[in-house]
Amino acid sequence: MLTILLVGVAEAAIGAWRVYQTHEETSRSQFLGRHQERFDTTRARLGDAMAANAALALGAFDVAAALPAGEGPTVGKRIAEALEATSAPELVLFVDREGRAIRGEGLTSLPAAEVAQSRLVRDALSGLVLTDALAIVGGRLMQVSSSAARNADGEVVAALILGVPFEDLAREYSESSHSEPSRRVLPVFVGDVGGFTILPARPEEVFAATDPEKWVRVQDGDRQVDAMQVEGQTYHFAQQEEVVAYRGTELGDVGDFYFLREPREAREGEEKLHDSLLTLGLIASFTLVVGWFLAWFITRRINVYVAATEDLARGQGDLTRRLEVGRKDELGRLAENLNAVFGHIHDLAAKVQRAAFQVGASSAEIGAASRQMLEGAQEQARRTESSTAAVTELSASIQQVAENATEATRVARKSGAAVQDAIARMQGIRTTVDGAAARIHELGESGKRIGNIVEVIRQISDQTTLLALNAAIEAAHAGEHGKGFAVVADEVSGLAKRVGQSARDIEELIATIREQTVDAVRAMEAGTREVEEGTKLVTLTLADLQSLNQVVEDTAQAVQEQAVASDEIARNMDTVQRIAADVLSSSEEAVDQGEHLHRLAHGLEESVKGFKIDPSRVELDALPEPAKPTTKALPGR
Amino acid sequence: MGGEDETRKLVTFEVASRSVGAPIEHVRETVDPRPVTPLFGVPACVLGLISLRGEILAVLDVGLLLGIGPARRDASSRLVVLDVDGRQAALLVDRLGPLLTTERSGVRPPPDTLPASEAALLLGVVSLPERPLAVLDPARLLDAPPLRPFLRRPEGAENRESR
Repeated sequence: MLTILLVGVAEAAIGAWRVYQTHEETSRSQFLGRHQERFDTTRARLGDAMAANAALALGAFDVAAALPAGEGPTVGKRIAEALEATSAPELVLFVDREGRAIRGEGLTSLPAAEVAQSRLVRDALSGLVLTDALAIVGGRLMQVSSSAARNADGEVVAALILGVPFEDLAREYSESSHSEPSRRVLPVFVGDVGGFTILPARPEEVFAATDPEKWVRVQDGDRQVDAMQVEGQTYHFAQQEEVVAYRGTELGDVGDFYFLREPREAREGEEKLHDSLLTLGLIASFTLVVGWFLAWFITRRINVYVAATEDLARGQGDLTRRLEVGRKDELGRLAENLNAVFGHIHDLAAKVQRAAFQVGASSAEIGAASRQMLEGAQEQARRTESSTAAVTELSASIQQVAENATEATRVARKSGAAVQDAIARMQGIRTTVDGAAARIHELGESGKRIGNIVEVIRQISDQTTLLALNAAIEAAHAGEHGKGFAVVADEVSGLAKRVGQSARDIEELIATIREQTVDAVRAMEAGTREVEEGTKLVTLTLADLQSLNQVVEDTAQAVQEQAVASDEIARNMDTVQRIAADVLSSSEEAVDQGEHLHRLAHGLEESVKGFKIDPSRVELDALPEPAKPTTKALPGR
Repeated sequence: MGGEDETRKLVTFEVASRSVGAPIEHVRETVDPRPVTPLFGVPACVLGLISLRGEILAVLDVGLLLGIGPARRDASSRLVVLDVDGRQAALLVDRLGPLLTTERSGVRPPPDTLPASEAALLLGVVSLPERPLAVLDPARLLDAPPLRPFLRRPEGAENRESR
């Protein structure tokens, strides 16, 4: 009800504002003057913005480096692209320090002579920052802004001049001056070049009407002002003489600028005010009556709904009950919505009950699982402890193995030394045997010499035998006298025979000795070969032993590393044990939490027990089926 | 020379594996072999000539003379110099044997089984425990038919013998 009254008051306020505005319009020439000031302010802001854009665009590139490198067109193109994305000015003039326009995609191209002589370009290159200057460019009046690019020494190397047609600005301002086209301000520019008008009349007539000779005096509020007459229509106007703009080599007056508007009678505005006040009174009275009736009608039915929701507000009540909907108006829809809300609350409560039950079951599950986990954690802690003990034992064993391996290395080294000693000794044996073989060989040689001597003896014995025989022959020839001599000869013969026999015996002995010597030499050679083979074998054995030694050393080292690693494992096992202890306490915590959760679920169940629920109406399908409770009963529960 | 007693002495030697003996009274000496200068146009049993202390002697192969095979020439070969009334010749034998003293009656005539040409050159045969010993007749040996035209009794033989 209060809302309705507020609406009425607001309506009245709007009417009063309209009346004020109507009255305000009565002093039209003052009004146009303000428009002219606002237009200038708008232009100045636009100019500032364009100058800032130009500075930003130049600042984004290293123009000082790019221009001497002949990359002017590329940079110009990219500057134009950057501007296109922001303000999209119609004039984009990019000039180097000599006043030459850089040509390129997106850049405005003008005759070189025009650019070279342009005072606008000269001023821009002098470092002057133009913000809302005007200039005649390409035969059109344009608002221009400029910015200069400087090198590291602060010298100007290029300038960027941006511009938009003045006519476009004026047209835009006109369009935004009022929402109704018939009440907009109408800009008119009259100049040597680029004159324009927004009036629907022909431009020549408009331009002709700006001649002060043709102005007429009209009443504006409580005073007389000049007005223009175009095609029989009278226009109030605000005038700006001397529009100063760059034009070629000069900066000077290029024409006049006017804001025109159709006049209105002041009296018309006063009548409007009277009508508005009357209308306001009628509307206010009607609104009051209708508002009270509506309030009564609405609150009557709303009270029914308030009563229906009071039980629910207390957290009890029959959730199966539904309101009577009645008519299909807003209150009918409210009843429907309340019914829907009851339905939702009903379902929600049912789901909460069921969920609470399930949470209870689940929390029991969790409790059981937590207990199992607790037992597991205890078991784990026990096992970890025994593992730690085992690992410590293992570490000690590995330490023992490492010591043994070190001992093995020492023994293996000693064996290597022994084998080397054995090799040296075998070499000694070989030398000795070689010496012995040489001696025996010499012995053989001596035997040979003895043989020679014996041969001589044998020959002497033969000769003696021969001589003895001849002596015997001589003795025989001597007859009786030679008998004694014959006996001597016989004796000599016998001796010679014995000597010969002895010589032969000696020869046989020597032959035997020589055979034995040869056998001995052969045996010694065999012995030498054996020694060589033995040396070779022992050398191989030494090599094997050295390999074995290496293996043993490697093993020792590996075992040392293992010892270190096992120590690390033992330390890690300690950590694991600590973690297991943490897990144990966490499991105990989990058991407590599970019990707490169970209590919470019970509380939840209690909290929705007050609602009456129709089980047949619950869409239980929407509820996820609870995890099948395991048959494991909770101990102590 | 003649054996006043019942024994006689024999210089024994071997030729072609046979034991042969010569009466010591006809043996001048035994010497080592020495270079033999061969002769042409003489029987095969005459091996050649040697110089013994300036004397030229014919060397005979007694094995060939007896028809029992040629004598060997090696380290044990010896020359037995015979002297029958100044007629001298050297016999090449395989080896010398011991001086043998035997009963004169121990020398028995050669058996009939021996060829006549061989038996004609022997005084007889002595039976030794090992094998029989053929005893040469030096006079007949030096007068053997193959040698008759060759070994002339020198003129001064008697003188030398008497000396």
